[in-house]
Amino acid sequence: MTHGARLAVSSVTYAIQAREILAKYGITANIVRLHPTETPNGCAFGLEIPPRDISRAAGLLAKAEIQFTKIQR
Amino acid sequence: MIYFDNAATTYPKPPQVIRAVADSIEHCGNPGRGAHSLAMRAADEIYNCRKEAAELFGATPERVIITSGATHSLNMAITAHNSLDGTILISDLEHNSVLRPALASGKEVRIFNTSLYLYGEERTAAILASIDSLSRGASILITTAASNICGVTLPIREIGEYCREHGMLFIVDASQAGGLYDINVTRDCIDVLCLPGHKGLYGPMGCGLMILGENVTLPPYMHGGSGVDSRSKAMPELPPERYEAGTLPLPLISGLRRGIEFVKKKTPRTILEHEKKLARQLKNELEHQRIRVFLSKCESGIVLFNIDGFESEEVAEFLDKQGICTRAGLHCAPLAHDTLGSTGAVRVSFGIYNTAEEVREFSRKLRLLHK
Repeated sequence: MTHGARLAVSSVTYAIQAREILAKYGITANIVRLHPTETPNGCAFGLEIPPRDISRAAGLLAKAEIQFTKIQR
Repeated sequence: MIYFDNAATTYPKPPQVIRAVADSIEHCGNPGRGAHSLAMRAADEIYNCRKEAAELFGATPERVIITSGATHSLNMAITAHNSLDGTILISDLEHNSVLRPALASGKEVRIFNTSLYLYGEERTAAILASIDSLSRGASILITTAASNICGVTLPIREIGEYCREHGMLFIVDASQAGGLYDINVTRDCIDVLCLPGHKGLYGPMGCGLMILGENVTLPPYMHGGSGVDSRSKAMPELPPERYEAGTLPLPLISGLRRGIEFVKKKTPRTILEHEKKLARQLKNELEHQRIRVFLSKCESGIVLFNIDGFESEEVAEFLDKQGICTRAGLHCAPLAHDTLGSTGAVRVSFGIYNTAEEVREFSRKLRLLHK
């Protein structure tokens, strides 16, 4: 059972890149595979982030021009 | 055994390259498919290779595309633009990995003069003038950064600036320049940089890089599984996965990563100066034996020569029997040989592990053939 908030990213490359960026700002992100129904085309990588950090993480990734979508659970 | 064929592939490879290839077979899964520990270990290896390459060549990691070699990269870059109108410009030193796909495109191919016997700013000015005289209607310019038969280097930054100013796509073959010369995709206005992993980057054979400049998007060359967006009928929109269908050669990329780290630690400048010094030494020794060396100035670690009365293959065969590896013939670059006025020659190409004593031994052995 996971308790983090999730962001879907384009691929594992962007997941690792995002994880590195967030780590620089003290945000721990875990790379996960998303359920096929969680994204339009299925089979995606996501970042699991503590809910308290999700807004800040989204801002940092947007600034770094990494595309992501928030997964609603 | 003396190995003087580093332009074909560098040998030996640093021990950490060899270990990395074996380690990744033993400890990694398939990158970019699952998120379990073995898959992520693999994905991290690939990403770190992209990062190392991006730092070396002034790009960003996601724009470093893994290929099977420079030929693959060049074919991807050149055929991606088959739909573009306009002619293709190439230099008169191009390897068949540029010449053949350019001709196969069906477009008109024009050849600009690299003015081999000029140097420095004189050569740059002459090259730009030649390009300018041929550029009307040209949409793509492809050039080697350094020749594989004579080590002549081209002014990549100036050519890149010209192409950017005139709206031409600029593709660079850095097969002999990567890991030796300062090439920066962003600063030099390069749209696509193509190079193998196994020459100046000291990685294993079977992998290479295609590095995209900012804002460059190509249609995918191969279509297949990408590990993401499986329900989409098309390849992903974004690099690098857009250009990497199928499973990547992780063991080779692990090796390539360690090769790039090795080159960065030694520094390209140190490696190049070492090779040039050996080339100067060899050139002096050959000229002392009255052997014809092509081009007077050593711009790299490549020396090309012929011995009167002997075919180049005969010389290479003799040297092989003496325990010395060289390459003879046309080196897959007939255009370059035509430009040099050669019908085939013996190429000696140095690497970081070659020594001055090996050059002296080469000279002694060669004397046995023709004296």
